[in-house]
Amino acid sequence: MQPKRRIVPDDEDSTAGIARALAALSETDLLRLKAIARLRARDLPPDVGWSDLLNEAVARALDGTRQCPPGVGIIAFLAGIMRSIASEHWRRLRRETGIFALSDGEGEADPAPDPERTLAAVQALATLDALFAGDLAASQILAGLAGGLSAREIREMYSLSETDYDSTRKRMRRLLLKHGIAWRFR
Amino acid sequence: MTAHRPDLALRRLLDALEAELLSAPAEEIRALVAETGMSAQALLAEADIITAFTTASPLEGEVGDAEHRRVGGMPQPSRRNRKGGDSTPHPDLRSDLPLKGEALESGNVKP
Repeated sequence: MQPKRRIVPDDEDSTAGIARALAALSETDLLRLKAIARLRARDLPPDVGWSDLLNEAVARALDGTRQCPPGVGIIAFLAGIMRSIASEHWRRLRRETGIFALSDGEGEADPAPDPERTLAAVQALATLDALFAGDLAASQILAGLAGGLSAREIREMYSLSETDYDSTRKRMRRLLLKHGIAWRFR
Repeated sequence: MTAHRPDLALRRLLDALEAELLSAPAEEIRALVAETGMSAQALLAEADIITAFTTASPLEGEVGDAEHRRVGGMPQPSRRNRKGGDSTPHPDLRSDLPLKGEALESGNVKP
């Protein structure tokens, strides 16, 4: 594993550092971001596109709304912002619809979701299920991950060898990338 | 994959799959691009993704106001023909999530 590096030098204004890091992104980096944005957009209603999500994340990074933590690369940073945007969307919706929330704090117990979020999540899970349909091991890994199981627990539950697990994981990654960079399946 | 809390199940799944995408080797991405028969530029042209990355750069003097912005509200200036290597570092998150290895089992991270 490569040592972690700050993307924003200590002696540089953080916003300028973010801008420089963004400008240095290669085509491969951008395609990776596209795939991540497309994946993360599944946690949003269908009327919010992945490019909207990505653009908003970039804007927040550039205007200082979000600060890049030390040691986090620009792509992981933007991915984290997209994750936050999705969570924020559902929290806002819950407030606006007047559904009582037990807690909004991160790290605390998650409040029960509103019906729209539940429906969106069910649809997204079904889409991901369909993507890996026909690959039994991939479906098993998906189910295990959704249930919060560790790699070892998943392997034990479905009698997958370490080799089977790793090779399935690579197939899953390739398929996700392929759909993420080239195909629409939402 | 029906979960009692589909929202939490989806979040866990997306986090794990995202870690996979973050850790995907650049060569793998380039190989997939070649498989599509399209250029990276063409793949990035969708939704003007290339142009999004110099937008509102403070180096160029335009900064958005988060209070008056919504998802998708970012302006889109131009930038074409990006070149360069895969020089941007990002942490290898594979070990942080169950798709990769046994980090969870070692107790180093929270599931």
